[in-house]
Amino acid sequence: MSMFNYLRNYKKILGLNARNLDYVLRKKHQPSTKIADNKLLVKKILKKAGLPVPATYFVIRNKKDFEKFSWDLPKSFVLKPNKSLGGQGVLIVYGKKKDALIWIKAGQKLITIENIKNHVFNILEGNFSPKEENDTAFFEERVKLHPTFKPYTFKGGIPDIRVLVYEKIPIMAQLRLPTKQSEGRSNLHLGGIGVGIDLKTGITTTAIQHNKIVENVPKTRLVLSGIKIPSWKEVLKIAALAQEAVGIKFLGIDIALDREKGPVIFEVNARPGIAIQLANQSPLRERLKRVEGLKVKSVKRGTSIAREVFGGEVEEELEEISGRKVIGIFEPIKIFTPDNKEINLMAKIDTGAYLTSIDEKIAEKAKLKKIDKIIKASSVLGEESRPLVELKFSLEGQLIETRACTTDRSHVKYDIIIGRRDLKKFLLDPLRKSKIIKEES
Amino acid sequence: MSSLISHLITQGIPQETLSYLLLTPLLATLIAFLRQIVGIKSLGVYYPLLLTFSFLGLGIERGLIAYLLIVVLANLITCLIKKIPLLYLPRLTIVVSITTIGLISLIYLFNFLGYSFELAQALPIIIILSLSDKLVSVQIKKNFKSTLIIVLSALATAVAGFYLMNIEWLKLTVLQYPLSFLLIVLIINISLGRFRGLRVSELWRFRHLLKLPPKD
Repeated sequence: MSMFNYLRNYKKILGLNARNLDYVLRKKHQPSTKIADNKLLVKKILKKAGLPVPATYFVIRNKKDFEKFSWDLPKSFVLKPNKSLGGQGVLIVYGKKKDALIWIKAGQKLITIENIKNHVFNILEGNFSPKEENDTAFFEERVKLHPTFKPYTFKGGIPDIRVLVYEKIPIMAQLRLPTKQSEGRSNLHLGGIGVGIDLKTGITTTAIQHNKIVENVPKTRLVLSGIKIPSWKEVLKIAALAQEAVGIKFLGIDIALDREKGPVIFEVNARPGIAIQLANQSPLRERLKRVEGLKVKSVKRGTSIAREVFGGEVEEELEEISGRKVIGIFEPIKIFTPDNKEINLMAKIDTGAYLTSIDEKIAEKAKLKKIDKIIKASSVLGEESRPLVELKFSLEGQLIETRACTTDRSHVKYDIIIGRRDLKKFLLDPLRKSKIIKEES
Repeated sequence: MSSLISHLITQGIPQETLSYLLLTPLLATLIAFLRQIVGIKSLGVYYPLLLTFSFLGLGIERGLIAYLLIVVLANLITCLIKKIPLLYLPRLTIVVSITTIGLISLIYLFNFLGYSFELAQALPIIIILSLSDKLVSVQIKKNFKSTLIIVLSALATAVAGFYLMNIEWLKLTVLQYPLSFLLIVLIINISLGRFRGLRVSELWRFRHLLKLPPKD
């Protein structure tokens, strides 16, 4: 049994082999993944699509530009090689010493103008580009830290949200927090922290650093789970729009939240890392397979599919803590009749009623056993006497054996309402829609 | 022995050379296998391949000693000159030069102290030396831990390769059936190239996810 489960999970996880074969190698009707490696080109594409990107201050394309450049740099900036991978060669500067050509790097180390020039020169020489070809260096605006993330972020660093999008559908997301070790960069393999995010609510779940689960921000008691990402729906929408604009089917989109501007797209990545599965404690390949071949017309549809299909982890967690199931106002139930038949009904959950009540015709048809007891109920129609029946039904996988009163419900929409007496195993969330209702709408 | 091979041997190509040449694709396959199935990263095919041949040239013991000495020296020197602002390629060249001098002095010192420690063949050592440039570049771009992992993975791969290349019956078989041998190597690589499963290293990395109970 456990071996069987192991094999089933084995197929659900996305490894590097499957990622490269199925999601990175160029497919038909898709631009080359090389586009994603050219940061300036991606910025241009995104800007054209009306999406927010950090402002580019200066671009240094060659030695000639280098010689001519004034080096009149702002207080804070990010220096990037155009074609590096995995955050290599990215320099984040968040402050400047007064009256001196000395800046402060994320990680609180000082850096002189000579160091910066040297770094730019190394970029031009192609020392950070994967093929060691000559590269372009550019300075861009450093995103202003959003107050929500301030306590969780190492000084000077900028956290970002990595959203994996497949054909307009966000698949999985994680918050990436820079640490001292990662020198302000948020890449996980450089020592950043990855925190899983529930796609439905935008609330963080579990966190990892160096592939191991961590509870708190290093050296603090700040808990990493339960952080609510601001403008979550907007983040998902921008991620899906960015994937659509770039055109590569499977894309990782890094979005930072600016204190003033809101979500800003940092970078896109055609070879997103697979550690996100650990941060979310959820396998990726299964999710990708579930949406494969879905023709999603709009980004709006794509993000709502993502939130409904892949979201709800926080809800499950709530269930785990309370030991109770979360249900909505309308839920499908299954009635078990005395002669072992099953009847499927839509039920309305009504915390205003104590007893469950069922339509008398259905009770009769199901041959529910009558109890020798009649209760008097007062309603808008005056006092009535209602016969009681024995009732056995399942709701959200829970079996409930109870008694219900029978009434004529032919004039109302739902044939059964479930009352407080039978709701002890549940928590009611009025916003939750059951799966059946989702399919109908 | 295949007629083609015996013809080549009569033309004056040494048998040993031929079997090494024919086994090279198998060695490359071993490296690909270790990468795709086991998950050992060792700087591509080229690096462990050359390292294996250096080991074959020097013998396993001397090969190991030379490799470790060079790696330690090169990394030490990289650390020492880290603070000096230098452009990348001249920095690498300086590291390789000082490592060479360091290696020669070490060999001299060992011999002077009475340990017989001549690393006779120059070419394999020069190969290892020039390979160290790749490692130093990893250390400059990434960090010490990644360098250490790569040093050890490359070492493990090369040692495995060394023993593979020394299997006597394999050396003979490859001369007997060179074409079918190459065909098999090709087939293995095509299946390796289409393998979508998790690597052994990923089984470890995702061990907790693999034990997740099924939902519903």
